[in-house]
Amino acid sequence: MKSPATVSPSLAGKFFSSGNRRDFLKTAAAGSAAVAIPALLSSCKVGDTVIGTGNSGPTGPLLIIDFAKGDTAYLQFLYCHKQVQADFYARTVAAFTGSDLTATEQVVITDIKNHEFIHRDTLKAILGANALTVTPKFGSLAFKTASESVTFAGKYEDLTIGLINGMLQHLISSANIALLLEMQSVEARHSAAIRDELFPKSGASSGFSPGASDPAYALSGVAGVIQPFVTESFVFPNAPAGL
Amino acid sequence: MTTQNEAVVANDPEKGVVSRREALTSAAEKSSRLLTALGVGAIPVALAALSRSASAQTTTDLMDGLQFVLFVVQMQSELHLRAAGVSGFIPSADLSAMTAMRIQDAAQEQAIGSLITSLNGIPNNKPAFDWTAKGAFPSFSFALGQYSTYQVIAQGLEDLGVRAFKGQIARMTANTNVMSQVATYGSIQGRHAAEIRRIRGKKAWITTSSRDDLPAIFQPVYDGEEVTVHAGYDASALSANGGLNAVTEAFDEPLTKVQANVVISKFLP
Repeated sequence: MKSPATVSPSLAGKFFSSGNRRDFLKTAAAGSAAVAIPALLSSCKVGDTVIGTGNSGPTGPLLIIDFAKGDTAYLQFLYCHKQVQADFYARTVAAFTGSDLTATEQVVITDIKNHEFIHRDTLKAILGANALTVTPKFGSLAFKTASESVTFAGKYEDLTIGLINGMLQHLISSANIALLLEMQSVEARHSAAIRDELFPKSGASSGFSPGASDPAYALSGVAGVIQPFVTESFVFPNAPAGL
Repeated sequence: MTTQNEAVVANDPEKGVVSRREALTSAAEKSSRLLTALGVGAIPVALAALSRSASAQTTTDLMDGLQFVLFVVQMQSELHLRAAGVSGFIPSADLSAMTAMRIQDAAQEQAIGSLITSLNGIPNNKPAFDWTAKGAFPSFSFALGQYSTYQVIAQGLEDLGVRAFKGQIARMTANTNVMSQVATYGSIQGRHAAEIRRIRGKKAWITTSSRDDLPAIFQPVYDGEEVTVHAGYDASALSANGGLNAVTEAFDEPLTKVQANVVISKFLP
């Protein structure tokens, strides 16, 4: 299959569904995707949102989060998101020796690493059998270089805040809403601390607080951003409008 | 949703990134596709997509919750405004951060007031405050030399805001769009609390239920922060990650209106 015209209707529906504002997440290269992969055919259907696609179809094993499961699906994605974050901090802490992170940055990052491990493992425990494991990857990220690792940390914290803010409106369970809120402001404290390390006592948008409000991101958008850091390819069957 | 769009723009990594790491950062970022991939400016904003009304909570809860978070930001905004009104009161080293905090709390006051109006409510007026807290801070009047007292009150009220917002956001499920939107202000409360704590030389997060060096009047702001059970799971099992202190730091617990009012009432004449 070398062009969209030859893609079977069901696959065309999956990769080229019209009017889907998430289409941009599917790489432009998907237009020439060779997608005749049995596993994909059997596990996806028209309307599924596939995040990790490249010239040869999905870039990794499929990681399917079925939004027919409601709240559980949102927690499943958050758990994936947190696995990447926790692994990032673990690698950063492991690279302290010989790094150019300041002593105070190392203290802050170590505290945050612990918090993120606790968030991750709390979600894992709550999800139980529904917990999905991802394999994080960071390519050439320079963990020993603060301008990369500490900057990455701050951006990922900001991303997490926006993810949780955007998720809240989809959740049904008051216990889940409370759980996410209990994590959300700690992510905000993390972001502020990291930004304050990079830009001390700054009221600029790069400082501790970029404005009067944080974003509320669409989950599918966040998935597109973190997909490069996950070996598996996210697939979202039964995604609701506005996911 | 102008506010959210502005926030996204403010998060644009291409804008306003200047610091001791400026040179390093700009060079490294250009060479780092990974960081580029975290350019969050292009993520769609989730609000306005839908509004669910799937809960037993009422529009009365929603409106009461909005009025209460409005009250909290009115109090914060007034505190910072009074401090800014005395030339030289805030040391120049802290002026940039504290000015941002004042402007953002004032902007939240406006935005939440507008939310109330958009739901056919009438925002409550800002009341008068007693900044001596009925004598707990005797003779405090934002006079020169009283900056440290202002910092103490600011930390207490920003940490209070973090928890008070949560208690009210949980009451807003009658309009989940509004709930998510108020959450975007709630996370800023966390940023403000972190910054004033750091300026005061404290960790950005709350350990156990410790008020640290704050006076006893603020203990109700921290009571309950030691809780380790979340959504039915006792996270104390995860104390291998920095001990029980870290377990308590990793979560900010909500305060109900009644709990928050224990502290707030001290500042009302």
